[in-house]
Parts: sequence; structure tokens; C-alpha cells
Amino acid sequence: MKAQFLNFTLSFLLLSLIGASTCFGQEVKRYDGTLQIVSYEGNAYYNYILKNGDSIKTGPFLFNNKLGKELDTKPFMISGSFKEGVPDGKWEFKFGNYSLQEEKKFVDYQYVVQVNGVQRHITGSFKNGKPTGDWFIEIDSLKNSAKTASLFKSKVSFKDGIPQQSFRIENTDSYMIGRLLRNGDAHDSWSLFTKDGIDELENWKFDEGTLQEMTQYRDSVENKLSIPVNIKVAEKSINLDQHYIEVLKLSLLDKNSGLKLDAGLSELLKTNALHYHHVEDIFKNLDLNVLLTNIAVNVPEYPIAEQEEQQLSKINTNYKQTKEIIDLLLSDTQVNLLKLRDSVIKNEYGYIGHLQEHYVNPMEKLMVYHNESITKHIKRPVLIKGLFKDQESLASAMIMEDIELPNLKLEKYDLTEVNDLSDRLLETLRILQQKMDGQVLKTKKEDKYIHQEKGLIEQANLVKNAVDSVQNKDHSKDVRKALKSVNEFIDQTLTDYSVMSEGDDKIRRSEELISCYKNTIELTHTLSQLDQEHKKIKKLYQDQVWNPFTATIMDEDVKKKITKAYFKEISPYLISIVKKDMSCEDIIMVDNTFKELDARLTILREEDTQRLERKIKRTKDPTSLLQLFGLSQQQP
Amino acid sequence: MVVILLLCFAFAKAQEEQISPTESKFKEPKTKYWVNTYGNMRISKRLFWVAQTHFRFEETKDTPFVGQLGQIYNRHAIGYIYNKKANFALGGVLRLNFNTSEDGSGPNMIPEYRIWHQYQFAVPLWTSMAYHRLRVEHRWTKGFDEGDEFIFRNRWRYMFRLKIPLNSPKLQSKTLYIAPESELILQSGKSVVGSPLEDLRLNATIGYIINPRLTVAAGFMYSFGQTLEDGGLYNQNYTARMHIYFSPDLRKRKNKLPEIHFRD
Repeated sequence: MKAQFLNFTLSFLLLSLIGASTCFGQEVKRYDGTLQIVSYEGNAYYNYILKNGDSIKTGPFLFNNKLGKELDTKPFMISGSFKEGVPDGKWEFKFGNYSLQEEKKFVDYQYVVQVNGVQRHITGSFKNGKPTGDWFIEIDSLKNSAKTASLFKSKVSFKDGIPQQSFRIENTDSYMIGRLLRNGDAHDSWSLFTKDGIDELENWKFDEGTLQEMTQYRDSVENKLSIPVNIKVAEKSINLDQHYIEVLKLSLLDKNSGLKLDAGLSELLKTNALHYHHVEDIFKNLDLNVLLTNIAVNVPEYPIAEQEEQQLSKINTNYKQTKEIIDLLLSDTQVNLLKLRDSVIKNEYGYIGHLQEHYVNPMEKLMVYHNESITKHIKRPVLIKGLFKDQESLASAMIMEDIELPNLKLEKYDLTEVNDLSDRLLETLRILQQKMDGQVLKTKKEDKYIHQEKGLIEQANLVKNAVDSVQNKDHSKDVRKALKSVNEFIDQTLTDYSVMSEGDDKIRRSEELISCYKNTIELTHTLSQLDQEHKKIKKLYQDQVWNPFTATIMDEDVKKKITKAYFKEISPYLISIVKKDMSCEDIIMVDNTFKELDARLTILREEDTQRLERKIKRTKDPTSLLQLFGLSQQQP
Repeated sequence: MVVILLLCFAFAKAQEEQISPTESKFKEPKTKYWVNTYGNMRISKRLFWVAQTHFRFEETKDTPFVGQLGQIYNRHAIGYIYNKKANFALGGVLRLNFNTSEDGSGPNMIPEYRIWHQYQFAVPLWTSMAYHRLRVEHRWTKGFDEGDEFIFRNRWRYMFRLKIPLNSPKLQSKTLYIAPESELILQSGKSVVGSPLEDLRLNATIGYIINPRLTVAAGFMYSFGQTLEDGGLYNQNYTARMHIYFSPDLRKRKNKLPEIHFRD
């Protein structure tokens, strides 16, 4: 946290300066607010002048992370100054990546939280927007807030934006010295030594930017590659960064040199360039072009013909579509589940994986190289052969049923061939996608069938159990008959269902039946209660009357026209609907009507029903009677 | 009980004053046919109107049972329901007695007047019901002979009746029942000398309760009793009887309280 304390002090000083400068500036405005640069979000303090609608930064600049209640484990601080909109003077870039120690220390009347982690510190100067003087990169590991090791260190001298003389880059176990001409061209011998400076590990020889020879000493073995000067090939000067390393790597693909460019000199150069790019990106975000990675190296150039450009464009289109299909298929939940139990899907899944690894990923790399303008610096056959390796063994290894495997073999290693390959690949994947979609859908359907039919049978059994449990000899003949019909209905509908041809209709029918059977259980219950219900209604429609001749209380039926209509016409009619060929709508209708009748008759018992009784007298039609009762046989 | 004691006393007194015949003589039985309607019409929570009309036929020489109309009998009263098992009634009777004598002398019809009151008690007996009915009638009658005057007598009646349901666990609608019944009718009065046993009726009836408001029944009755004039001479009758019992409720609907709550 010492670093943060320093930040505060610095911020205070800067703010004082900002305040002072405003006294002299004519149109100087001050910005003090949040800002996002690259991935950093924080507070920025700077002055600017509005000129022709553009804001031109001037004076000190400070950008750091916000200090909240929670301590940030990734603090940053960028400070420097501008002159007429371009960086000028000293600049400092600090980035931390810490973990906070839980233990707090009490030092000088302050609680101090110590940190462990890595701190990156880049310092350098600008003159009129161009790097000048010595630029340092220091990456240190911290323990208990103290430096314990230097992980990376570099020093490059610039003059008017051009790196000069010699530079040094080191990491934990080695360091390199490189030499440059005044114009920034790589020149002479670049050497990598062990940290003690005794053994030379690697040596690159440049001549005015052109790499002449590379030598690596590993385990007492010398791998040497002299790069022949090919006068036929035009050379182009580029900046030395990771792309150059990439070009070198790719150029080595067809040379069995034994050289490895994943570590050593190339790694140090690459890392240094990446840190410089980081600074460049920060300035880019502030709409400024600053160049630090401008050690000049020459690379061969094999210009991309118009036809090749078209092919690359086509390959790119094909690649994107292919990649989309592959990602879709490989991440599909159903496919992933199915491949566990279906050997065909498993095989297809594996095949797609191989296609991805051996064809799609190389294609992706090709596209990246192309986008980064690397492709043009390598001979196409060298590049393509290097990217598409191991593909010969693949084609024969995979055996697919009912799909004709495309010929994915490359012979000429040119872009035309890759273009054709990308066509075939896309086509094959489309076929595979279609096939797998079909398989997934089929399995989904089969699963749905199985699930649905299981549910259907369970529901049918529930109905039958319900019927069995309520059926007894005490029921009236009508009820017994109706319950028997319910059982027959289940048998009949299941039989009809079983002979249906498989398809959406069948699934729909099973859904209907499941719902229907649920209603049938309701109906079964209603029917089983019907005798009781009748008794209840009979009792309801009785008055207790004292008979003077017997001196006893007797039940007297009242509103007989209503009960007669119910017992003699309506109830038998509803029961007669319950047969094995009834519809699901009938079931709902009968069940609902019985239930509604119960409620309606209870109400009618209390109401004045003289008029209704007169009307009832005139008809025997059950549907008319239901209407008179205020119930209509509405189909659900 | 008081009434029974009174009856016994009257009977004892009558025996003292009459010269007993040496042997009793039973007349040839007469055959009769009665069609009786019984109406008990509810007029309030506790009151009902008793309206009975009986048409009583009797044999002629040529026709048994229904040969001629003997009496038309109108009995009315107001009944009081004490509770489900006990009720009382007080009213009058107008009976039209038709001249059925074989010689055809005298007027065709002579009215008879009664004031009556009755006390009826019902006793549940397993699935059946038993009834005790005490009825007292104050009766003014006149004979058909020339010079006959109205004479006043009292009648003391006790009836015991059973109603036994045949096809139901209790007496309720649609129940067929049998009703054995016997009634002792004693009489007293100035003119009653040695003939207090006016009638002893032994009935067997079968009835059908159509609904609480309507019952029909038919039965056969054997009865015998002393003639007023001669205590040693007994009348005998075989009577076929048909009954209709009806009990409408004349109250307005809103006043019809649940019938089980008489004592509330």
C-alpha cells in the first residue's frame, strides 16, 4: 500500500499544478472525472484546450484507479504530461496484481495492509510525442510489499522516436543484448546469455535489419541456421514484435533446423514488444499514435495476388460458418447427452472434434495471420503445410456410417486447395449437422413417446384402480353399468391409440388422453357418489310431516316435479352418455353437469319454484329440462 | 282412569235395577258396508279440523251388505295437538238415520245429534304403533215409531288399535300395514236399562299409506251388542269397511313449522 500512498501524494501535487496552470491558460479547461482506458476504469485529472472542436490535452495528466472502501487488488497509475496534445516529458505506468495479506500491521500510527503479487513499472520520456531517452520496463514480484525478485527488465534508448545503439532485455535466468543502427535497423549480433554472462545460449545475426543466421546452443548441441539471402524475394521492413517472431517460426516450418522459437531470444523480444504495445494501446485510447515497438527488421514479402485475396476471403467466410456449426454441435446439450449412449452420435462427435483440431483450428490460425499481415511474409506452401499437419492420418482413421467422408487431403498446399477444402468441410459439417439434428430430434421424440406413453399408461391404470376401488354391489344398477363403461372406455381408447401410426398426431393424442383420463377419474368419483347424491337429494326434497292418523312423523316428498325430472329424466340421460365410445368432452360435460346439478338442486329447494314446476311438467326432454334448471350442456 | 271407573260404576248400577234375562239371545247377524272418509285438516300449529263423513249401507232381504243406505254420518270437531303422541278433540255429529225397517212404517229419515270429545294416545311399539282412544259422546236419538221422542244417552267408548307395518321398518309413505282393532262401546242414560253394552267391535284392517297426507284402508268387522230394549237380546253385524284418510295442511306455507317441534 506504500504505492498507493505515493499515488496520493503525487495526485495532490498534480492537482496543485493543474490549479496553478489554469491561472495562466486562456481557454484551459479542467477534466476531473471518470475515464476508461483499455480495460482500466478510474479517475482522470488533466487540462485541455478546446481548439476547433477538438480537445487538446495540455499539462500534467493523472489516471488512477478509484479508491473505494474495498481495496483494489489490481491498482494502476498512469502519469505524465502533455504538450499541445502530445505526450511530452516523463511518463510513468504502474500496474499491480496483488493479493492482500489478511494480517494488518500498525506502522507509524497507520494500519498497513501488505501485499503479495506482481508489479509492472514502465517509465520513459517523450519529446513532442516521440519516445526519447531511456525506456525501462521492470516487472517485480512482491512479498510482504517488498521486492523479492525481478521477473523481467528491459532498457531501450530512443532518440526522436527511434531505438538506438544497444538494448538489453532480461528475465529471471537470462539476458540478451541487441544492437541497432541509428535508423533503428536490427544489426550485428544479438546474443542471449545465462544470467551470469558466461554461456551464450543463442545468437542472431542481423545485417541492416535482415536476419542472416540463427544459432541456438541447447544441452551442448548447436543448432544453426543460416538464412540464405534470396535475391528474388523482395524484402520489407517491419517493426519487431510478436508478428516477426511468428513469421520466423512459420518460415522455419519447412526447415528441419531444430531451432525452437518458443523461448529464449524470441520470447524476450516478444514479451518486450507486448509491453510496449500495451503502452501504445493506452495512448491509442487517448487518440494518440505512439510507437515504441519500432526496431526495424526485414522480412521477405510474397505479395498476395488478387485471386489469393479472394480465396482468403472465401476461406474466411467458410471458416466462420464451419466454426459456427462446430461450436453449435459440440456444445449442444442433447448431443453431449446422446453421445454417452449412442455410438453413432459418439462417432460423429469425435469426427467433428478431429475436424476442428486438424482443419478448422489451422484455418483459424491462417485467418489470424492474414489479419495480422503475416501471411504475405511466408511462402504459402510453407505456411499451409505447417498449419495443416497430421491430416493424412485422420481421414483414414474415421469411419462413418451413411456419410461419405470428404477428401480432406492437401497436396499442393496452396490457397486454392485450402479454399476447396473449406468448401468441402463446410458441406460435410452441414450434412453432419442435419443428420445429428435429425438424430437428436428423433431421440427427443422417442424419449417423448416413451415418457408420454408411460404417463398415459400410468394415468389409465389410475382410472382403472379408481374404478376398482369404488365398484361394489351396493351401487345402483345404473351406476354399476356406468362404471363398467368407464373401464371399457379406457380399454377402447388405449386400443385405438395403440394402432395409431407414430407421429405428432399420436403424441398429441396421448396428451389428450392423459388429460382426458384425469377427467375420467373425476367422473368415476362422481359416479361412485351418485347413489349417495341421489339419496341426499331425495332427503333434501322431503319435509317432515306429522300424520294425525298414525301420530308419527313422516317424510313427505316436496317439489316432486323437480325431483322427478332429475331422477327420471336427467340423471338417467347423463348416465346413458357414459359409454365406451364417449368422447373426452362428454366426460367433462357429464361430470360437470352432475356437480352443477347438485348445487342447483340445493338452491331450487329453497326457492319459489311454482313457475319452474309448471314448465317442467310440459317436457320430458332431458336437455330442455337441464336448460329449465339453468344448466345448458355446454361443451367444454 | 276416571272415565273407566265411571263406566264400571254405571254398568254396576244398571245391573242392580234390571231383571236379568235367563239367557241371552243373539240375533242373526246383519251384513253392512261402510264407506268412511276421515279428514284431519291442519289449521294451525296445534289445531286441526276433524271432518268425517261415513256412508253406511246395510243388507236388505235380497242384497247383502249394500242393499240400502242406513246412515249418513257427519262428524266434525276441532282437534288439539298436545304433542306428537297425544291429541284431543271436541265437536258435534249430525247423523242421518234412514228407516231400514222391513215393514217400512215411520218416517224415512230421522236426524241424530251428538256432542263428542275424544282423547287419543299413541304408544310406539317396536316398529308398530299402538293407540288408545277414549271417546265420550252425548247423544240425542229418536226412534222411527210413532210417538217416539228424542232420548238422551251417553256413550263411553274405548278403542285399542295396532298399526303394524308390513313392508317398511316404520309407518311411512308407501307402507302396507295391518291394523287389528277392538272397541268397546258402553252406554248410559235413563233409557238404558240392562243393556249397557251397546257394541263390541272387532276389526281387522289392512291399510296402505300412499303418502303422509293420504291413506286408504279396508277391513272387516264383527260386532255385537245388547239391544236397548232387551239386555238379553244381542245384535250381531258383519261389516265390510272401506276408509279413506286424508290430512291436508290448510295453513299458509310460511306457517308450516317443522313438525317435530310441537313442544318448542
